[in-house]
Parts: sequence; C-alpha cells; structure tokens
Amino acid sequence: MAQQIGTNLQENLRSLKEAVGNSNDIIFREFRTGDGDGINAAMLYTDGLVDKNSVQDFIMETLLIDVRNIDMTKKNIADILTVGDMQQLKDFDMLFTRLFSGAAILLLDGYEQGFSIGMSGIKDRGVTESSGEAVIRGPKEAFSESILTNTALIRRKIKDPNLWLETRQIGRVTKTDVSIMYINGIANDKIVEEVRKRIERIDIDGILESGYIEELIQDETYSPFPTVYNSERPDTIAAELLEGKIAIIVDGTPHVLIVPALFISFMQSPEDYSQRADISSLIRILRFLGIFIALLGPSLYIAITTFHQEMIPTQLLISLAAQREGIPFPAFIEALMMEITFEILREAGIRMPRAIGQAISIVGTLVIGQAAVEAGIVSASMVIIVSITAISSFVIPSMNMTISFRMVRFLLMGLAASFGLFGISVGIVALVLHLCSLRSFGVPYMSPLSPFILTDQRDTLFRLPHWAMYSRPRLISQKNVIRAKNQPPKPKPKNSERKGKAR
Amino acid sequence: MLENGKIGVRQLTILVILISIGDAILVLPSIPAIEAKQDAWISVVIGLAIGLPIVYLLTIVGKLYPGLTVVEYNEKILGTWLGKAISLFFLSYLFFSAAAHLRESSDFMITNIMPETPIMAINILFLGIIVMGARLGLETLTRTAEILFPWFILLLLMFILFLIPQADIKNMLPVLGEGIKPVIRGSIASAAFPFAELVVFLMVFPYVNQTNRIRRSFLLGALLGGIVLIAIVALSILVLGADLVARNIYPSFFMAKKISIGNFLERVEAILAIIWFISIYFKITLYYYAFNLGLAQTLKLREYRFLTLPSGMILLLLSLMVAPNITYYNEVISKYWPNLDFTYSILLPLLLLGVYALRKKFKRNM
Amino acid sequence: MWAIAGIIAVIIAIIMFEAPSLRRKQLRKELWVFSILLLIGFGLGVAISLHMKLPPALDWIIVIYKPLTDALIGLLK
Repeated sequence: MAQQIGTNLQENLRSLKEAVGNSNDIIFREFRTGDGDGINAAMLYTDGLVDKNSVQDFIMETLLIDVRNIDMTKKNIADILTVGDMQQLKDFDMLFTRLFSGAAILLLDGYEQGFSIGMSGIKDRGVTESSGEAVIRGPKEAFSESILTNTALIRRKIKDPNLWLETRQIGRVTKTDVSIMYINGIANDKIVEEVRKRIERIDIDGILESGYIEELIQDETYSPFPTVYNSERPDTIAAELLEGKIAIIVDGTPHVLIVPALFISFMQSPEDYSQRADISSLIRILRFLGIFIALLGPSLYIAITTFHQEMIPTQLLISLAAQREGIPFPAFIEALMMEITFEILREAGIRMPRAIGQAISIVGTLVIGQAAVEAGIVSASMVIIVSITAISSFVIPSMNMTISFRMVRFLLMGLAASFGLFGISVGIVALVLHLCSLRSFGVPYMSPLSPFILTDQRDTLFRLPHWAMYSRPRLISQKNVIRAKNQPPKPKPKNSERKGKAR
Repeated sequence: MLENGKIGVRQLTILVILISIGDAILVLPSIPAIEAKQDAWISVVIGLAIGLPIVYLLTIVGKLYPGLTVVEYNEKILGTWLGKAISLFFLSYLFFSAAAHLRESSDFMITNIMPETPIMAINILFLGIIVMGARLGLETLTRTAEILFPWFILLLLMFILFLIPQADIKNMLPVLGEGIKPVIRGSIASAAFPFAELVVFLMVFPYVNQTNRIRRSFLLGALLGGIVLIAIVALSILVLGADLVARNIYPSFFMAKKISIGNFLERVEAILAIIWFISIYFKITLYYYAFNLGLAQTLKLREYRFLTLPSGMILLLLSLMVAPNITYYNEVISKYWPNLDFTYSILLPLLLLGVYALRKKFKRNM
Repeated sequence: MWAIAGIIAVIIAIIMFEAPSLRRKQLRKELWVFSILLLIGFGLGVAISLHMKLPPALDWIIVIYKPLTDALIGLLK
C-alpha cells in the first residue's frame, strides 16, 4: 500500500524528506500563497530534470504574486495555474514517479491531494542521424532517448487519430516508461491484447534498454533467431505500424521494438521502399544470396575439399591442392581459426576509437590474412572464403539476424567437417525445421513463405511497385486488409497517337 | 488433443508428391528393369494406373470419419479389441517401414558417398532430425516441406535437363519387345512403393483443414509424383540402357555421375544426393511421426511427444537388425514388400469399408 | 562392454530429458508406456551389442508372404 498524502503539510514534507534521504538535488521550497496569511504550500522539484525558468515563471510567480489577493481556500488550483500538464496525486508512489520524470510537485496544507505539474526540462540528444541504419535515399532522422520525442516523431508520420498510445511504468526500481503504439482498426486486437498482457506480466527491478523488454516478452527464449524486430528510424516504425504491427517504445533508448516480427522483416530495409521497385527487388535477391553465402560458405568449402573432391573442376583442384600442400591443419581447423580471428576483429572494432577503428579492421584482416598465408598457417583460398562470408553477412539489414546466422554458421561448419554434404543437408533441414516451428506472438515465423500466402508475396523476395501492393499482410492485420486502390500509371499517349488534337 | 496442427490442401499435395517420390526415385528404376528391361518405364505407367485407384480408395476410407485417424476409427468400426489389434499391426508396419527405409538410405550414403564414415554415425545423425521433425509436429513438418520443395524441384529439373543430352532413344527400343507380361510383373513394385505406401496419410487426413478438397489434392499429388517417377525411370533407360539399370541398385545415382557440363560441372552426384535425401527424409519422418501419434491414440495417451525418444532408440536398433546385407535386403524388398504394402493399403481399407457398410445395413434393418 | 555402458548412458539421458515433465503432469499411463519402450530398447540394444544371432526382421515378411508372391508371379509368367 502506497502511503497516502495526508492533509498536514509538515507531516508530508517530513515523510518526503526521509524518503529521499539527504539528496540535495531535490529542492523543497516552502511558501505561503493566498490572501491574508494564506495557506502553507510547498513546491518540490528535481534540479536538473525540470525547466527551472518555467517553474519560476508559471508556478512560483502565479502562486506568490498573482494570487496575493485571492482567498486560496475557496479556489481550485487548477483554475489558477497557467500550466498545461497538471495531474492530481493520491499517494507517494505516484508522487515520486512524477517527481523523477521531471514534474514539479505542489503540496498544499489542508488538501488531501498533491499536484504534479509537468515542467520537464530534460536535456535530450535531440533528433540526430541514425548511426546503425544508414540509407542513401530516405529520411535520416533517428529516435533519441526521450520517449516523448520518439512518440512525437512517430505521430508526425502518422497523423491519424487511430494511432493509439498506452504507457506503463515497468521495473520495480527504475519505473521506466514503456509505451505501446498501434493503429486501431489495422492492428490485430488479439495481438495487441497479448502484448499488453506480456508487458504487464514483467517483474524485474530495472528496465534499462528495450533489449530487456525484448527478452522478457519474446515467444521463444531458446531460439537463436529474433522474434522481435527493432529499429532506430521513425520511418521504419511508421511503415510497420501501417502494416498492423505494434511498436513498443522504451524511455531511455532510441531502439524501438516492433512486434510481431517475421523472418522476412529482418531481410527488409527501409531503403527498399524509397528506391525503384526493380532495383529494390534485385537488391533483395542479392540479400538472400548473401545469406546463403554467409551461412554456407565455409561449410561448403570444408565439405567439398574434405569429402567430395571429385566435384571440383580439375584445374581448380590442382591449384587448391597446391595451396593446401604446406598447411598443417585440416580444412575445418583452418576455417575455425580464421572465423574466430575475424569475429575477434569484428568485436574489437566496435569499441576502438573511431579514428583508429576503420584502419585497423581493414588492415588487420588483410595483413593478418596475408601474413598467415605466407607463414603457411592458412591457405589463400580460405582467407578469400572467410572474407567473402563475413562481408556477405553484412548485407542483412538487421543486426539481430546477422548474429543468429553467425552462430548457426559454426554449427554447420562442424557438421560439414564430420559428415560432408550430408552433414550440411542435415543441418539445413534441422535449421528449416526450427525456423518453421517458431511463432512470433502467434503468427508463424516463416509466413508468407510457408504457409504460402500468394497475396503477401508482393513484398517478400522482391518488391512490386507501390501501386501494385494493395493489401496488408494477411496474418498480421486481419482486418482492414485492403491498403489502397491504385491504378498502374498509364503513359501519356505519344504525339503520333493523339489523332491531331492540339496540345 | 494430441495434435493441434492444421495443414492446408496445397501443403498436403506437396507432402504427397515428396512422399510418393520418397525413396522410389533412388531404388525403383532397377526393379521393373529386371523384369521388363527397356519397358521399365511402361511398368511405372501401369503402376501409376494401379496406384491411383488405390489412392482413391484411401480417400474413401478417410471420409468415413473425417476427424479421426485410422487407428481411431479402427476401433469404432471393428470394435475395441479387434480394432486395437489391427491398429497395432498397422503401427508395426509403419515402424518397420521407417526402420527399413532408414537402413536403406544410410546404406546408400555410406556405400556411395562417404565410405569411410561408420554407419552408426550416419544413422544417429539422420535419426536426430527424424526425431526432431516428429516432435515438432505435423504443421511444422509440412511447413518445412513447403520451404524445401522449390529447391527440390529446382535440383530435380536441373538433374533431368543435364542428362537429356546423353539420352539415346535407341535404348528404349524395341518397345514391348518381350510382350506385356514382364511389364506387368514389374509394375507390382511400381504400384506399391510410390502409391500404396501413401497409406500413411490415413493418419494425416483429420488434420487437413478443407476436408472436401482432400481427395483432389491427394490424387493430384500422387499423379504428379508418379509423373516424376515415370520421367526418372524413362530417363534412366534412355541414358544408361536397360542392362545397366537392371544391374545397378541405384541407377539414378549412377546416372548423376555421368553428368558433364562444359567440362567443369562433373561428378556432382553428391549435390543430387541432396534431392533424394530430402524426399527420403520426409517419408521416414512422416512414417515415424504417424507411428508415434498412432501409438498414443491407440493406447489412449494424452501426449505423443515423449514417445519419440525411446521409440527412436528402438528404430535405430531395428534398422540395424533389418537385414544382414544389402543383397538380402534387395531380394526381400523387391519380391515381398509390395504385398505387405498392399495388405495395408488395399485389404485394410476394403475390410473397414466392408464392415462399415454391413453395420450400417444392420442398423437400418433394426 | 562399452556398448552396453553406452546404451545405459543413452537411456539415462532419455529418462532425464523426458521423465520430469511427465511426472510433473501426473501422466501415469504415459510413464508406463515410456518405461516399457525403454526396456524394449535396452533389451534390443544389449542383444545387438553382444552380437547375438537374431533373425533379420525381414525374415518374417518372407514367411508370411512367400506363398502369395509365388502364386502371383506364377500367374504372370
């Protein structure tokens, strides 16, 4: 039971001061307001979280100066203060939550409630360029750490009153603001209800990043594949909302979650929609090719050179054999060593100071690779395979998915080394079995590839022009499936066909 | 409910195609070729002609109790004890079939592709994904089939296309040179292995979501599977000649070795082994899954998943026991297995239909 | 010797994997069937690893179907 705000101001103040200890960034300002002797009042705010000028102008000035002649006991505070966001507080829990969210708290002697006045002056990074998800054509703005900025950025893209926002405080100690946003009428109500339930079920002491929420609400905790999508870009989020998905925004992080997320979502980049349809389709196919190479590259090399040498054309076989002559290790160990080296370089590259970082990664890989080849530790072909594999894996737009593939790749390599192509086939079947068994909030993970939904094919392996994409994904939206009714553009009749009409 | 999944009719067709191709794509061509020589492909055509009515019969039985699997309505029609007994026989057939096929495919892998790997290792690896598939349930299995199917077809088409340059029509002549009887002798196996072995679908019908379209999709799948097999057998004869096809246990694999494109795409039979791996995998897994599900239904258990691990172990051991060597295996399979298939795909449905009709008559007369 | 130890290890692994969830859900009949299957597996495994002379399973098929097949082939000769 949260402690209620009593009518005695001094008692309230004493409890409050006890609760915050001696934190000297919480300012207590006591004063009297109203005519005559007036009533006792106190103002609390957190220095650094509130906009001090606003507090002074709108609250202090009004209460100290403007009401000097008004009997405060008969007036409603709400009718006096010239502020927008004002709420009544009943207990201390609410008080502290609002206090630390950047509100100023007003307590009056004789009143059973306190008032929280939104005066947030939190310093925000502002709307900057997205660092992780760069595009050539398309908006460059990205979310910031403040939840209100983020929801505002989304509202700017979708100006429909059906865009609904619900906020909760999650985390026993951090009381982080977590909001869900969805377009009522397009989003599937059952999924919205499920999201609500799962978020409310969370019981943890602190939420510091959306990744925490992701782990706590996702369907499959043991799968390496992500079932929750995340993005830093408002345009991506807005596009997903239009398809009927639900956005989860967490205060303190620019990474917004999207739910439900299917395998295909991780292969799509927002740029696909800004560029022309034919280019985007080709690039998407390139991405799928990239996945194949990233997943199977080293495994195929190991399998073929170890078990199925007869498949390699004779000339290539001779040169490969010559290369591998002096190498002391079997193909699998070679591949493993190179892959691990690459992973170390990649991980280290993230944390290196930007100036050195670029240089070292490129130089590191090439030089180490070159040196290793000349020292006779690995063969040149292995370096090529590993580099192509590593670069291909970056074609996948979403980091989550890349990480999953990295893990799976090692497993396939192990299978290839022990059982050759048979092992790889077993691995792939197991992988597909696993992917097909996943569900994201009830929606099968691999749709629309399987179950094969013809109408949703317009936006999976390739992308049809916007005028042809007239329906929303069937399993996700389930109402309001028709998106638009467009006519394909008709070219203007050429001059020779205009039958002599003047321009 | 033991199985909550639902599959669509298109997925059913895909499954049927994969299962009818099953292991037949690998072992079938040699069997009719022994009897019918260069007319082996006609045997397969006749086999299809015999097989389709069998498939039709299966759909009639399936429609009697659309929401129940065969082991469930066995009891309804034949009474509890007789029904359960017949169900157990049916289930042992499924299990046995799965074990035999597992042994057959591991043998193939070992002798042809990876001679230095111990057979136990291959068996265990293969068993791993079989058990995984059975545990994940019908819906996941079918979705996997749906995703792998385009690749299967792609590789198959490539296989056929790359071999056409080496086809020699003279190998097929004279057509019906020895008369029709040898051809019919060869067609028994051709009807059994691809089509009669579809009897496993009696365990799958209740889970298809559009009951009235099952017959069409099932027949379509069988037909398409049959056409593929006819093509493969015909191709084997055209490329290799009747003699080689009859002598080789795995003629299509032998054919794959002969593929040579532009002097650099050669000896790619290992990639083509992936085709048969896919179709055999689904056949064995579906049989194994049907066994576990059926066992749970017959014994009125509430779950089937926990059965997969112990019966997987038994499957592994049984597959080792099935035959001492491949010659014995081939002898028995080509001569006697078709009759086993027909027992369950013709006799059992006729029995069920007969008793069902009799019971209805009695009820009406009462 | 090692084979039998291996078989026992596998059986223990299977039990550890499946039995807890069965016991939690109070599925008694299922546990019985589970145990029986494991027993059969154990028996078979021991038999095979000791290289006991077991008839190949396909022998049964021959016994049951030989007369039928011979008749059928005879018809078509």
